[in-house]
Amino acid sequence: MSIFFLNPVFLFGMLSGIIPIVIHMVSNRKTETVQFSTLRFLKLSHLRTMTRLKLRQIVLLLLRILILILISLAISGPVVKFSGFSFFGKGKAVSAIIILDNSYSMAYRREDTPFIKAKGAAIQISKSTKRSDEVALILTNSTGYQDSLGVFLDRSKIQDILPNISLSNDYADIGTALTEAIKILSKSAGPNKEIYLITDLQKASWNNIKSSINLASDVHLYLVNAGKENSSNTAITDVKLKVQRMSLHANAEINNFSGYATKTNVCIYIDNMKKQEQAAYIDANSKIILNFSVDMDKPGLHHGYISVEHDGLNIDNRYFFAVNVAPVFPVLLVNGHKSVFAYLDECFYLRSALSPSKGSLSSIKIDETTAESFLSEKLDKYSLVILANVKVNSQSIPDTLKPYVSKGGNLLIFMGDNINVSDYNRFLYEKELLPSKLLMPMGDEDDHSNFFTFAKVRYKNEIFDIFEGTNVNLSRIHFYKIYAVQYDPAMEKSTKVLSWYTNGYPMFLEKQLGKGRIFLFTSSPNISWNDFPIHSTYLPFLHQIIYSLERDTTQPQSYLVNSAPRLEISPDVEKVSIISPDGTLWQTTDDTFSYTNTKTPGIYQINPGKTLFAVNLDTKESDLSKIDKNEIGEYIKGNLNFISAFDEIIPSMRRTREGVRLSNPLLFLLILLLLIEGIVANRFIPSYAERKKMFMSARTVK
Amino acid sequence: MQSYRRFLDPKVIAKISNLNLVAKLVVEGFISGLHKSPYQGFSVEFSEHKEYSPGDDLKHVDWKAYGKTDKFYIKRYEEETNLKAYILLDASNSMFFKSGHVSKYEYGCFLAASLAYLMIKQRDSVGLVVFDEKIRNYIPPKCSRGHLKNILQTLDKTSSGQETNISKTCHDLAETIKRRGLIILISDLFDDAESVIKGLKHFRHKKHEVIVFHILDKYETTFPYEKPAVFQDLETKKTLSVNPKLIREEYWAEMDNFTNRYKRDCSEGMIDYVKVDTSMPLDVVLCSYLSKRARLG
Repeated sequence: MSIFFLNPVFLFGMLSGIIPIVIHMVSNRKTETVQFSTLRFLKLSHLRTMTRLKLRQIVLLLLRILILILISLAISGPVVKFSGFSFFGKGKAVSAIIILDNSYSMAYRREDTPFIKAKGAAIQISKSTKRSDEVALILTNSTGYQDSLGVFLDRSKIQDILPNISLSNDYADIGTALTEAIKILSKSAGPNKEIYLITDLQKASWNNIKSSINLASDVHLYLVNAGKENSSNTAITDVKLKVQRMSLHANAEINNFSGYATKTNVCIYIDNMKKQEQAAYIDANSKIILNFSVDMDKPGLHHGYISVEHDGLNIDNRYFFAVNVAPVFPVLLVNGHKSVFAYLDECFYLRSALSPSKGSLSSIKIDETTAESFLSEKLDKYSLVILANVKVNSQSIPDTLKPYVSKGGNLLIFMGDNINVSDYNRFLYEKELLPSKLLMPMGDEDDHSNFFTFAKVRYKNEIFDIFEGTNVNLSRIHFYKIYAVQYDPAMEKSTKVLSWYTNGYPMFLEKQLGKGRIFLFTSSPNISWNDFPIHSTYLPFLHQIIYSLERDTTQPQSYLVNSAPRLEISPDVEKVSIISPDGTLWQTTDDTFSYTNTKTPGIYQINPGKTLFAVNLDTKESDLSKIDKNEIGEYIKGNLNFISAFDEIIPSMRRTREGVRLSNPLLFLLILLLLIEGIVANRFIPSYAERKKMFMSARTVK
Repeated sequence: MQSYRRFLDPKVIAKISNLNLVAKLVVEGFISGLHKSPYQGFSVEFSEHKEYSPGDDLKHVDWKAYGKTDKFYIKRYEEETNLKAYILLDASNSMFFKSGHVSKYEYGCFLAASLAYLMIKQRDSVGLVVFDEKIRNYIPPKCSRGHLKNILQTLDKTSSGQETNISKTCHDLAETIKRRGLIILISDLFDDAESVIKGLKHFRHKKHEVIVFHILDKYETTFPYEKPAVFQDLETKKTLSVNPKLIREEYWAEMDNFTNRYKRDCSEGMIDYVKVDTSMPLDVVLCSYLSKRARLG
């Protein structure tokens, strides 16, 4: 705390404090001598009175001295400053840094947005500086004017820039902005250093501060609260998408960041067409997850968004996405035993299950061939090759299949009568084309009294996950004959067992080879060894295998605002252009590049190829809960001034720069002292005549 | 008649330098204000007849009674001048304090002169004792015109003296005066109250009647000073710096205690106590004397 005086010359007036003492001394010297008949009564009265009165006289003397000193003090204009600025710093140049929170939460609208007011306050602050002062502007989120930010500029330049500053679609990082401001101020030689942080005090903005920020003793931080109290907001904070063949499944997480329950309508739009709408009732400060399933009209790239109703903060009411619905899935069935009798044909049930709707509506295209001729087929055009009870007896088979799988093809192998254990182990297992080594057949296909069934299933696996929690009873499926395979848990890294028989042998195995996958089903694909094909679970089982393979279908990516996704383009393409949602065109000739212009949430289109990607908000800012003063005190150590209203900025600034004027309190004290002096001096004693009268009347009564 | 009354005002009589004239004016003025002439009582009044016996003065034989009864009777009269009065006037320095036109001593002189004049007119013997710490003048009581002149001259010549010692004067006189009489003490009584009362009681013990005229200046009772001042004692010459405003109430209380004590103790000792202010007209004081004189017969 320091003190200085606006009119220090008047401090000499404090010498007037000795006037009462001088008067006392002079008046004592000038007393005249009075002849009196006797002093006996005077002495007695004097003795009795003086002990009491001397104290009063001393008090009076002190009061009068104090009054005179106070008069001088009040006139000299004392000003108290509680910290920071020194006596000599008054009136000298100010180095001010204005940190403007332009995160998207500042767009919260009830009347005016906090951001518009915040910009007005920033202009007000810059106008309060003098020509000799330094002013710099820092934005919590860069939205342009890069060259003008974080450097001291002429105040008029700051005032020109401020109206054109726009809101960002990102969250604020107060810690980084403050650190930068402190760094700039540390280089400033000015005696008065000020930081004005104009923010909505949104809590998430402060979470990046890992350790306390210490302000130097000569730095003053003014925290201007630009936010609104009791703000309410509903936002879509996350969407999980799953494309299964022609279906899009979306799980939308909707958060209610309000202190009360709310209702909102949630819609999903695909290619700008509203597809579904659901009402959501969300409790205060909680979230719900809504599931949408939309049948896509056609394969290919689609874009869309999920939205909630308008509220105070609209920017987080939409979540954008782009999906790639795979085209027809080509499957090659290699029939190991063709038969005119459908039930004896190895592929009858497979064919029926994979393409139940027939014709153009089916999303799976099935070609069928025989074991003898499949090697002549161009396997690359098939996503999946199914070996159904196929004899493997030549080296050419693994020579053809291994490159196919390694490049991304998939293989599904079913057992049957044509299987030769040694040949399979030799040409497939040893060539890494079989997940496990075959041991021997087990059971009798004609003895239906003895059977194996599902004993253990990996329901967490994407193939079996649809059966989890349903009333489907897999144990009703009977397997009369199977192939026992060798399985060592040590193989778990490369080979996964997805289900087991009741005798403990693996039923269904999966192996990754290169970019492709190999599945082994240790029983037949038809009803010769089991009754699985005639159970309702057979079709979904096969389709789940197909879906799991489609997982690898390249889906458009989703990025956060202001992220810099690294994109790869085919080397054949000479020039790439990206069109952002606001129509901005960005171009490059590089094959690999980082795209940094993701400032706006929405769908971005990459040309040529018309591929899409989505950019969404990082919804940290959607929770408008405010940080409280104590928490800020934990984050920032130093001279902090909290300002809750914009019109308090300038007075608070002046208080700190110039201090608090004490003249008025001193005048009040002066009046009080004068009153006390009057009371002590007169003690409410009546005039002499009145007192005499009272005294005499008292005597008469006596 | 009115012209006489004005001479009862101390302010007026202070301007008259001749004490004889003062006494005459005061007494005549006072007497003329009474309804009944005081001279009636002053004539030689017949009391009773006594059968002549040898040795009796023949001039007192009632010849009229002889003519009627043929026997000699002697007329007996009320004694006219059997009262011997002593006026004790305090002439200590404190008595010379004055706030207005008249000092306490001057007032005392007026009072003493007036009383002496009145008494001699009544054919009472009157004596004068002027004292301070000791007796300065002593005039034994007599009843004659020449004696009055002597008293007035003594009063006129007396100047301020020393400190007061009333009790010593009282004791000395009480032992000296053999015949019972009337003691009139005119003083401000600024002495030790207990010893003063003892002295006065000594008179009472000797069967004297005592009147005390306690003379005080108005400033002594009201203490109206405003400015701080150094007060000097007229007797001891000692000084004291005092702010009158601050001690005034205490002073009043002290002074009140002082006069009340005399009043109470005098009452207990069958002594007449008259508090006199130097601004009071003298007839008030003379009235006090006359009532006392009437009780004495």
